[in-house]
Amino acid sequence: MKLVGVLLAVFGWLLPVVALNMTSSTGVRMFLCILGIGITLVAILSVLNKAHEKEAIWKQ
Amino acid sequence: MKSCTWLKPYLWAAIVALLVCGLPAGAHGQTAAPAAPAAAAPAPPPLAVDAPLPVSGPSADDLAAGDPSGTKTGTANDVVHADPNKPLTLVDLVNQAGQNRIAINFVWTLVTGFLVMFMQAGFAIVETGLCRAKNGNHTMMMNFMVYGFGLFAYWVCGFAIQMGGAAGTSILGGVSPLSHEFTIHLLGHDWGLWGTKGFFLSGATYDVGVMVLFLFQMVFMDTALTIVTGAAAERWKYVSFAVSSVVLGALIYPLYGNWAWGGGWLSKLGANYGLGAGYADFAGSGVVHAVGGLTALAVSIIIGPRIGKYNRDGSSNAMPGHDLVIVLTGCFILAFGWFGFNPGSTLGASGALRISTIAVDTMLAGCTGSFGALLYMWIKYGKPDASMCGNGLLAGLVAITAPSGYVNTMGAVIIGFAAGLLVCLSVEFIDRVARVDDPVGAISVHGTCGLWGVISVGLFADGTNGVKGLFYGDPTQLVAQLIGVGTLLGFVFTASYVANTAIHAIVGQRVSAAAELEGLDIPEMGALCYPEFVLKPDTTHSGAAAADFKAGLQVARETA
Repeated sequence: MKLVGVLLAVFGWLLPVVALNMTSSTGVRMFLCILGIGITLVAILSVLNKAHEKEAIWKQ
Repeated sequence: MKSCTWLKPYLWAAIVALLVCGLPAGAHGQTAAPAAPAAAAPAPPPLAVDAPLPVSGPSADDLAAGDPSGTKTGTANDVVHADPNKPLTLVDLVNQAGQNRIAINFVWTLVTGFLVMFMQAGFAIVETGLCRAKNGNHTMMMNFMVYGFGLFAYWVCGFAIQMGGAAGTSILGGVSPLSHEFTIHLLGHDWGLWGTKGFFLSGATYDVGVMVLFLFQMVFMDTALTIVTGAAAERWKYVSFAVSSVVLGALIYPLYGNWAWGGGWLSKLGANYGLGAGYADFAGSGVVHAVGGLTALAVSIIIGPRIGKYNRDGSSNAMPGHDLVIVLTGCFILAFGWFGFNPGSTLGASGALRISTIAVDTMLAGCTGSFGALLYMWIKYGKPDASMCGNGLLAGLVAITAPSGYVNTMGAVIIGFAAGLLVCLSVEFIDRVARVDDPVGAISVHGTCGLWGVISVGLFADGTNGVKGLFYGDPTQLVAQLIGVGTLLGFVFTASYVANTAIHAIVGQRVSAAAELEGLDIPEMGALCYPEFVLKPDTTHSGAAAADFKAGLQVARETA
């Protein structure tokens, strides 16, 4: 799950960057940026963090 | 008639003088007539730039008498002559003007850099005060040595990676030796990735302008590094802290710094994709604070919470710091240092008079940040919390760091106040929902509010200094800022996470449970911070002990 979290975070970053070449619409670019940030936040706080939380000292 | 006779010679002399002086002027006027062909115009008399100027300062005797009013000091005598044996010329004056402009900018940038360096002291005592007394030496030593670790790494390669292609910074004389950016051509555009000049500050980068830029950028980088020590305090192995700091200062911070400030791809989003003025981060809400805050998040996730921070049901325990006096004193030191951070980011005062606006924006946002936090805590918990007020001040300052060069005072007030509220919400979220242990609130103050600062440029920039945000009519700037936020989260966090996971696998990031319970001063540093204090036994390290402690406390209260 940690690897999934990392890959998802990178995907969320690259999505709006690559999309810069696909559209010149400001609205679409902004939507993709927000979507990418959302994916990255979920990847970090939900996927990656939860994977570490399973090993947390207070759960042992 | 007799009186006219004696005037005659003077009259003739005056007429001759007028003719001599007036003829060239008349000739010049004629050639300027539209009927005359341009090619026939005689060249204007050459400007005798090396002719002696008929000016002189006070005599040596005058100066020997002293200058109590200051009117005899700073005159023609003080202009540097190219040849001391010859009189002053126009060339001397022009060179002196150029020298003065650059000197003013050097002094401004260096002095503001010194202020930023002093922020290390503020960070050190804020973090130490918010930690428990048994970890005082360890926390102070992390903050003390991060300066050296970071500086060394930055000198070796960090500065070159970040600013090695930053030539053209005219305000510091050009810094021409920083002349090469490694660039790839992809998707129809050039993407600047890192600089390649300035390793070890050697070769042509042994240059006065480069040295000024190095000092200023170095203290910024060190600020990012010291943020991490707060979030990972009270359980971070010292050797891992050292290695992690070197990696951040040598590679991760400089890469993002290059993309934003060193001529890299983020700064070119405007030219390449028509996104406003490109990613704009005036003094580093993103480059410095969010980089530090997100690295702090990565390290905190990897090393996990302190023993006793969370109960088995996932609820969190408060672990208050040991000295609020030094916490709030440290906040004041940081607020003082911020006058170097933001106004200094003009890299000069000559030709950059907006330093006054930037300074006022900075103080206003810090002020309203502490208002926001104070109000939130007072309304929600019934008391104005001191440490959160301090964090609110810092949150406002962090948030205004990126937009300080682009917003008016009303924008600064709103940005700061929002940051003050945001930091409280973020601390609660990180602590209770994400269950990431951050003893000093660094992730929220620097990470969350750093990202808010980056976004706020895209909203509040008023166009006065070349950057215009959504509220002033340009939504494309907001897109550039959001791409910056995505890069911070997706690249900086991930790179920090991978690097620190590797360090964790090789040397281990966390101290032993025994060392943590004892306090890190003796196991890690070999000396107590407060050897004459009697430290209370740790009663929060397990659910059972905590329950016993709470039960005992209840009995004591009832007895009283």
